[in-house]
Amino acid sequence: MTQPRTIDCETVRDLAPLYVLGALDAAEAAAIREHLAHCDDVHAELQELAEDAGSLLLSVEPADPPAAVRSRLLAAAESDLRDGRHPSVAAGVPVASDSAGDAEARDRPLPPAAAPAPSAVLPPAAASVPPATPARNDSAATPAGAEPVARSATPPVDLRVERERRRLRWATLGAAAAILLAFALGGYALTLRGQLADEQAYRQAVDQALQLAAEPGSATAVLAGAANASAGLGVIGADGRVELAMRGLSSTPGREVYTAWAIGPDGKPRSLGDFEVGGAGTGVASGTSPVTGAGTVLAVTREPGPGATTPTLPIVASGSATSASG
Amino acid sequence: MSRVHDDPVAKPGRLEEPADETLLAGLAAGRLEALDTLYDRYRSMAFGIARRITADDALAEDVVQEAFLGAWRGADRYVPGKGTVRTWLLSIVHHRAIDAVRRRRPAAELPSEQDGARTPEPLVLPDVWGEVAGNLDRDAVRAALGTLSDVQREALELAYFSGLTQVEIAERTGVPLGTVKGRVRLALGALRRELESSGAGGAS
Ligand SMILES: [Zn+2]
Repeated sequence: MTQPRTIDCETVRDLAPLYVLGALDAAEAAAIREHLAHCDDVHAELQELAEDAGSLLLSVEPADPPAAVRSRLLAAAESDLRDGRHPSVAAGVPVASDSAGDAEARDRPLPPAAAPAPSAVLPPAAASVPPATPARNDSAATPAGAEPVARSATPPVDLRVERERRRLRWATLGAAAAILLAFALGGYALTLRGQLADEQAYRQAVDQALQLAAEPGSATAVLAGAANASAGLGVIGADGRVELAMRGLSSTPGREVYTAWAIGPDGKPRSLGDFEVGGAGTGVASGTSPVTGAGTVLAVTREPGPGATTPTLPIVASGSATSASG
Repeated sequence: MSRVHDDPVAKPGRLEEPADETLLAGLAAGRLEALDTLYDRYRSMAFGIARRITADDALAEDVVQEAFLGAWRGADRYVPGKGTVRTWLLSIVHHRAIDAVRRRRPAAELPSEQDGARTPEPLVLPDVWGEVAGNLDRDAVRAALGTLSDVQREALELAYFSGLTQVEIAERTGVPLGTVKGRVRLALGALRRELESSGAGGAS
């Protein structure tokens, strides 16, 4: 291991403009970082110069990257979670039993690298956004702003189950996964608004839909609404099972419900069941459809009460199912 | 089939997008959807910067992907008081792009370095970053750049967008090292004064 050159405060101040611009060679930059890590002076001049340099970033003309970059990024991030490379899963959450592959990540003690200086972490904020399937009781027991909880104790989640779930999703969906995942991610804002119960139900429904989509003979429909941002994912299994997850719906007051419909080649709508929508704008439904296969249309309407046998127009959102394989 | 809705903490009608800091907390917690949203928000700026520095679309794509992956893995190292998430993120892109162009250059062109210095290093996240104000826009910065002298602007652009080191800039422009250092210092100072006096930066 090469020891970085030792430099004094005066040299840091002298090199500061070049440092913030990135125009020092690797050894010089490393020496400055090493100095900053140990110096008692906060070197406020560096911060000011970094601000000036940062404004230069804004002078650049934006350009859209190809869509493939997003897919690759999300796939890499997903495998981080799966392989325990992400700090949130590398921190050694205890799980009951496990396969050999996950044991390494699980048994690793909280590494120093994943436990940065207290000033650099955001424990309350991070704790309010649990990684997955939060248990409401646990959340209530650790209100934001309480004393920082050790990260390893924070996520109320069975990591083994979570990893299995992710592995299944990716392993079975192949090329379709990126598209479906992009859709599944649409629920993001819910957690961030604190609507954990809705988020949980939505996520669960998306997961069920994705699992059903991985089965042979199933067909997948992406439902889209006309006016607003409503959208959904619906999957019809070969046996007629239907899993539907919708978001972006306005809430249902009183007795009002949304009703899901399957429309086959004969054009006749069959009710799949009703669901309510709360403030988060999500709704989930599962039911059985007498018609299956590609070409089946899934649709959602808003009804004055449960049990509608014919849809009340207009259709809120709809989509035609296509074969999920490939 | 149907689901009872209970949102004790829901705020109906509050539909604004999550703040950058919230998204970053999501990244730290391992939430892919937060990464997806953050990517959506800054991919164009990130790709613009990466392309400007690398002048190579394929390399710029890799840079953007690696930079967001670095933010994903290092989100808990963002310190709110030091500057905005936007600049932190774009600084990572900048770092990564400079790294990429330096690595791409043939070994013969590299300044003499000790053996092993070319092995890929783990991503170094910026330890300082920031911006004059969050409401700065492209036009304001370009206008401010336009007020600099030609040699100052050249020094700034070579230093920030070319991947050249101070030694290489001195060689390229035919001036002593100390002059390069002096020019970029003056240029950054002039840029700050211009942005402040133009009012674009606000009073924050
Ligand atoms: Zn010092």
